Amino acid sequence: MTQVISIHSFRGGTGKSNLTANIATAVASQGKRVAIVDTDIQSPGIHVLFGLDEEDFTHSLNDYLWDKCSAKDAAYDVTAHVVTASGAPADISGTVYLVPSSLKAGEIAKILREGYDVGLLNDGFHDLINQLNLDYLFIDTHPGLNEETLLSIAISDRMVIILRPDRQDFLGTAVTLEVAQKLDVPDITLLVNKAPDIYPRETLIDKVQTQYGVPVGGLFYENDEMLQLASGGIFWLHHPDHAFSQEVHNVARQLTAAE
Amino acid sequence: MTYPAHGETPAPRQQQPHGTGPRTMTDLLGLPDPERTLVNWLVRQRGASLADILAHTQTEPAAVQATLDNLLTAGFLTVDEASDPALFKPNLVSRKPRTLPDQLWNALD
Repeated sequence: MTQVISIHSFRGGTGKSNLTANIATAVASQGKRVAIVDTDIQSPGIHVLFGLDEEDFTHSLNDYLWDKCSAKDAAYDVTAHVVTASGAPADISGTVYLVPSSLKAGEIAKILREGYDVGLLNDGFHDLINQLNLDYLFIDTHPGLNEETLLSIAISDRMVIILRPDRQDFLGTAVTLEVAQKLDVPDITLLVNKAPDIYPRETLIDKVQTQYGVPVGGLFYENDEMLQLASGGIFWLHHPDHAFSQEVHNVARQLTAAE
Repeated sequence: MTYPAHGETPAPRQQQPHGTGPRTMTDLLGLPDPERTLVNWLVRQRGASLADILAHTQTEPAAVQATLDNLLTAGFLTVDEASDPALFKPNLVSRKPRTLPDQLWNALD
């Protein structure tokens, strides 16, 4: 059965889209069929990590929500766009689809102004699952709690919340967890990202788990290589032996083990 | 208002009072636990028949009918009459229309 996984963070700048792209691609490298839907309609961007430009896609999630195309029409197979540090195509045994959101200012404004039918977005997720024969559907959400994010949370089999070791993130994550519990999300995992290396791994994981009573699925330290890549690709394919990459695969294994 | 058993014609959509629906996800968070839990489940299912709802909730039919009654009245649900059996579906939008002047929005189009 297909798992719907929403990736969320209470605040911006947590590396949510970057981790989503890395983890989803790592899951696909296990031979799985994966789709990522960019529901960050207000500030889309995950397509950049897959080397897509606005000109590369004809349809977007916005078009689907306005009944201009099917959900499948807005899904692009980006497996061939995923490359290693040398620029060679990566050897991904599964498939990665991406449903981008529009980058056109007028189209973003239209969604903000008019909203959309929540049921239609939900139907679109299910259409993608069925028509693309997906094993996993990842939903890259807009940071914070808003109407679109609440739907993504509500329909998820698993919610992954990304936070930094930062007081504001800690407070916001508590709020997010409360909402997720109100929406009956069956499974919640925390990922700690951008941790300074002064924090010992076990101490930090223990502190977060104790504070929230929710398991920490991964801890990612800040690193120069990530800054240098600057969203120019999928990190673990550029730095396969890096500790960050090993942690990405560790999280991907946890997700697939939960099938 | 009561709702028909499996296979019978459900309460029609127009029985909702005007101006109550559709509702938003934020409205959903404000519902009492039993009602919110039922709508959460219906959102995941994308709709369910009365028989399926009764099987899921394992609650007295009269209590379930009362809950559905409240949710329909409040605009959280609609009844899909085209389905057989009829389906109770969530009636949610991402946001209510904003009150910003059209001139400002039009400038962005």
